[in-house]
Amino acid sequence: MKFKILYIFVIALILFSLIVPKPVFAILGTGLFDYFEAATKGIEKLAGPFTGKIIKLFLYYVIGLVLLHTSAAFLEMTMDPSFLQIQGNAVVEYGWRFTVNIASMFLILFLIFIAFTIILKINTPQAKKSLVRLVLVAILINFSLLFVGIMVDVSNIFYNTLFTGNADLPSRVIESLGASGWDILTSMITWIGALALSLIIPFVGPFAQYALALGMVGIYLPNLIVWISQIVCFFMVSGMFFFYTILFAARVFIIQLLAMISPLALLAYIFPKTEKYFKMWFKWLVEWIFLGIILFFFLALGLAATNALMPRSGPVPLPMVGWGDIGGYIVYYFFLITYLGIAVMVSKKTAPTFANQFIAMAKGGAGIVVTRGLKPLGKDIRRKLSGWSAKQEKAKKEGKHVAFGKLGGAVSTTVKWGHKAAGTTPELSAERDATEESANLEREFGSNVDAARDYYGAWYGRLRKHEKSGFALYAAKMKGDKGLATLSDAELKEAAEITADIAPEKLKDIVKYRQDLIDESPTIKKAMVSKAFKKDPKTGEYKLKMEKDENGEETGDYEDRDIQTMVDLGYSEADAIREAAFKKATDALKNEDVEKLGAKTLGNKHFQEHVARFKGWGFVRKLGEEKGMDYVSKIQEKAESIGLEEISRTNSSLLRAAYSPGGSIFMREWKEKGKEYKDKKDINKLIKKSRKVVSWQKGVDTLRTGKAAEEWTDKEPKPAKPPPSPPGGPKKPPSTLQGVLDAAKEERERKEKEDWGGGRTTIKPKGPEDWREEERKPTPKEAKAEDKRFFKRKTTAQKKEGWGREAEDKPLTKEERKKLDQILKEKEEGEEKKE
Amino acid sequence: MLEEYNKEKLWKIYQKLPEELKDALFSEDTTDNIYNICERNEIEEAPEVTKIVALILLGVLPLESLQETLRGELKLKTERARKVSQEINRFIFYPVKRGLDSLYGLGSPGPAPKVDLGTVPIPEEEPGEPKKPAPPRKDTYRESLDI
Repeated sequence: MKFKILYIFVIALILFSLIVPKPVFAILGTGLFDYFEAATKGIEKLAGPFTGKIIKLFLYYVIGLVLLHTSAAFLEMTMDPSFLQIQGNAVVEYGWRFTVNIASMFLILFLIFIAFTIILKINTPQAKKSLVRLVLVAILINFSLLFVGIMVDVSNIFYNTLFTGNADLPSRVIESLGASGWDILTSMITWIGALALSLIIPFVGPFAQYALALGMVGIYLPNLIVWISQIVCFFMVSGMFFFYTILFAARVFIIQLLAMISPLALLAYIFPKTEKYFKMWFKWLVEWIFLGIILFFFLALGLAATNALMPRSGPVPLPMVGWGDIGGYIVYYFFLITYLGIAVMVSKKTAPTFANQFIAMAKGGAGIVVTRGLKPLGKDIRRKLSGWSAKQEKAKKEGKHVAFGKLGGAVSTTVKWGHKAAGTTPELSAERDATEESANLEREFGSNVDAARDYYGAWYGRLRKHEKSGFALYAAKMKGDKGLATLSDAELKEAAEITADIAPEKLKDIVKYRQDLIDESPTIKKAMVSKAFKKDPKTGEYKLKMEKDENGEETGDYEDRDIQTMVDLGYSEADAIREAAFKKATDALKNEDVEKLGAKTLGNKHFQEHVARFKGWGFVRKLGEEKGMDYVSKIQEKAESIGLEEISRTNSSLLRAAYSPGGSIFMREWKEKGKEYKDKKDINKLIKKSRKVVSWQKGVDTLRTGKAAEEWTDKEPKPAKPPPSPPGGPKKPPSTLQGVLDAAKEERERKEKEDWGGGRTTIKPKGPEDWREEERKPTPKEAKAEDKRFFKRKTTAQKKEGWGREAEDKPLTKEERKKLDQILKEKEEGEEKKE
Repeated sequence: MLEEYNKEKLWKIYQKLPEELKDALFSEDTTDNIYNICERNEIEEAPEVTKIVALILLGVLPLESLQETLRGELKLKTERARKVSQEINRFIFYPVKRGLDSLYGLGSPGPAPKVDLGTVPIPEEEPGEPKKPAPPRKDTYRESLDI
């Protein structure tokens, strides 16, 4: 009975589910919507990015066209000769009158001054000359504005020659360059509109997208090339037009200013000491007046030529047809871009004195057009493609799925070829982006890391990867641990991991100040020793590289020296990798980085160990100077805990430092296992003992194989053998006069050596002509010359030891020469007496 | 002797030393020189000599008192103390003479002073013939009398 109820219940449930109405499309064929929906979703992934780029291209095109027309209008305005007015300009005349009054006042003062100099007969000829000039200036000062006006008019004669017929040159260029642009803009709007429309229609959408993706390379590419070239030209031409506009405008104001101060400039002509200001004023005036001619000449020449090169027919905005026109356009745009670059370069070189400041300002204005328009477009494309390609390569290496399959691989390969042609790789490109970001921050904020951090503020989280990495590199470079402290721990870890991913070579510049990151992040640890690994082709796993001998056979040692060192010190492979990462971070620290270290790194036991083992005394001393000698005591304790014998093999300078004068005061004597090393001799014995084995590597071998005990003993070294007696027995006293002279000379040299404390080295014989080799008595002249050379050499030798005079090898002073002559005289007399 | 001096105060003094003296204090060459001098003169208390040299380099002990200090601390004879101090002066202190001079406020020798022509004294006239009186100068303001 029970089962019957159950069965009935189940059957009722099934019937009910069959009976309940489902939403279905009753119209014929509408079930296909699902298929196309799925197809659309699938194709969107591929075609979506292309469509996005086209829309971006369209936006850049619009901006470029607008900038082009604006810049042309400004340039035409400033180019007009009537823009520069000297006489008849109210501002100039008012300024000029003001300076004339001041100059007149100074004229009176100068006249009185000259009168007094003549009366008091102080430098009378110069005063008379100045008087003549004063009279001349007093006459000319009232005509200074007229003279400047005449100079401007003279330049306008040349200017008008060029200007006639070319007044609307910028507009004509815009017309030829940009007119077709409006057509292209229209066609682009049509394309985008058509594409958008096709997406709406259910059946057509996926096919349209498919056609777009498929035909991108073969069909639309020539038009895309032309459009991109045009965008580049728009930005470059408008940038150049802005550059010229600023220069022309600056020219007007500078000439007007120079006209206003012309009376003061003439006043400066009176006295010789101030004449240079008059000359400077005159030079600037001439340069700025004639600048306009040079600039306009280049502009007219170049733009007129490009007009001639412009292809007759405009770019046909139809697919496939554009392939036919592309050659002419490439030549046209190439010429235009090259010419514009040369024109700007030449203009800069011929620019007047402080035109460079204006050029720098013009760069800020006109450059914004290029840097904010053109560069981001190019950079963006390059960065995206590089980043994508680098990811593809990484995924391939790790055996992971490559996004977009063959198409993605083809793009990645193309990008790699492009980088290869440019002499770089996608990985290097990514690293360069991070480095560039760091350099930009440094340029903008200097060492003010806090300001840089505040600049990003809450937007830091939205920064792109290379920007985060760049910020971390910048902060580390500027202020080390303090700079990195502007980031939270999570942000710092993220930035370090990004750097490990895109710029592993730069990772140590961050990690050296925050070595605690090595333990916190396996990614960072692995990246620090990434070069030590290679992929096993058979298993696909990553293993440590082994060293190979000449025959290509593995020697059993790791290729990475740091890892090998750690293994030799007794660490397991896993620990050796970690310790090697710490060692690399510590090795990256230089003496000047010590002041930027923070408590987290200083307190890290791995850091202390590596400092004690591998960092020379210079570094430890710097640590002591920056962080206090208590820190050096910590390093001493660490060294003692490791074992002085081990330390002596890699860092003997640390051991010896404790016995230097400074060490005797600020450090303590080394001690180990109850044994104290009282002085330098004891520690030298220890160092010698540890180095009894020929090399560090052999010493390590003996450690590993246990052969050390046999080789090392505590026996005292054997005493040195006495020097062998000379052949023929000990020296007899000299019997001949020559022998006496030689013995006396030897005794003299020995005494001098003692007196000078070894400063004098034996005089090296020069050659066969040297009188010592010939064993004849030197002539007084030869002896004098030799002694002079000796004294000079001694002076140089003394300087090396810190004696005598300053660094430059100066000749002997009079007193020294007198002393030398006296000594030579005494020697000669002494020798004569002996004879 | 060192017990008289506070390490922290000495450290503060060290931090203000010129770089030359800081290098000399911790230099291996300085240490080697001290030990060589001690070996040559058969002195066993090289660590003591090292400390004395350190105190002089820090400016705590005067340079002139080296001989006396060696005599007093190491109980050396006058002649030996003189010889050792001479060698220490030559090998250790002379190379850092400039730094020590600035430390003791003696001033470094510096370059030869430039001769200012304005301060060159007018050379004395050699005794010889008496000077003839200069002819009277024409008075440019005097007008001629047209009589």
